[in-house]
Amino acid sequence: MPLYVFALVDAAPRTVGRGLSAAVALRKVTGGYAAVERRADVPPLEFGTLKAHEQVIERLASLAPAVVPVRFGTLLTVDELDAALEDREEELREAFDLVRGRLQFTWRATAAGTPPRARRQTAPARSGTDYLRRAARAAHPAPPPSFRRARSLGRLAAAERFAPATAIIPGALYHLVDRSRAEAYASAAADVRAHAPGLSWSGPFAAYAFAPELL
Amino acid sequence: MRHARTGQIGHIIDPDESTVLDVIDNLLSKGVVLNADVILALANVDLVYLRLSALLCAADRVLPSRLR
Repeated sequence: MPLYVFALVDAAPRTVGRGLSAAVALRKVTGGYAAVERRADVPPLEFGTLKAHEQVIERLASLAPAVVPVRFGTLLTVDELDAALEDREEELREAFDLVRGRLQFTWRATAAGTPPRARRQTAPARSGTDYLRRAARAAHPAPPPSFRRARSLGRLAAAERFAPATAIIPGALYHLVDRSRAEAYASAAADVRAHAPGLSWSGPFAAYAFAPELL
Repeated sequence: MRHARTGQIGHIIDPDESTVLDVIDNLLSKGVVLNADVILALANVDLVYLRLSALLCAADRVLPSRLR
């Protein structure tokens, strides 16, 4: 029977508890462990299922030092799982190093008037340098000014990432924070929120936004 | 909105309070994998078995940035 994969972890907790319909098991893979449950098919895309999936991830995050969540719906055979990670030990180790002992906080701009920017036609690059500059900007879009106060908390974060708005999800600024600094971060976040009513924050979560796509 | 509670951070992550938006953002922003099994048969004889895996995702989350 295939394995439904929740996350990759760097250490195997003694027990993880129940998954969606069976017990979660830790399977040794190259560079770590995969938190899996045996399942015949992909779970239905329903809110209850998503919540149950998220609860497994958060439980793992409270049990293992480093948790790298994988995409919802990842169902693989044992061979496929092993093959997918076979040559990616270095990549997985870097991912574990980034998220180990850290939590994610999420900021969103709630003020009206921040819809996704319309796709626009741009003129061809005038030179190679121009092309590379455009590519760099597209790969790492800067947060809009509405996130300025939230960005000030970057001093308390180990990493920061911005995801521009899509048609269904508003733009978000993510901070990856050491557990030891999380209380200081939360306190500072409450202050920022008090002075910036157009911003909202949530967390802590597992490091979803900082997990590479390994499977 | 789930706000962190001072004194509990680092020890407890309570998923019951996360919002719909957080769940969607955390779990679905990178897309979902949909699997399907297709069996082509003729006269009750299975001839072809296809296992399909599809990634359902906003294109701008999976395409290389230069293609956006």
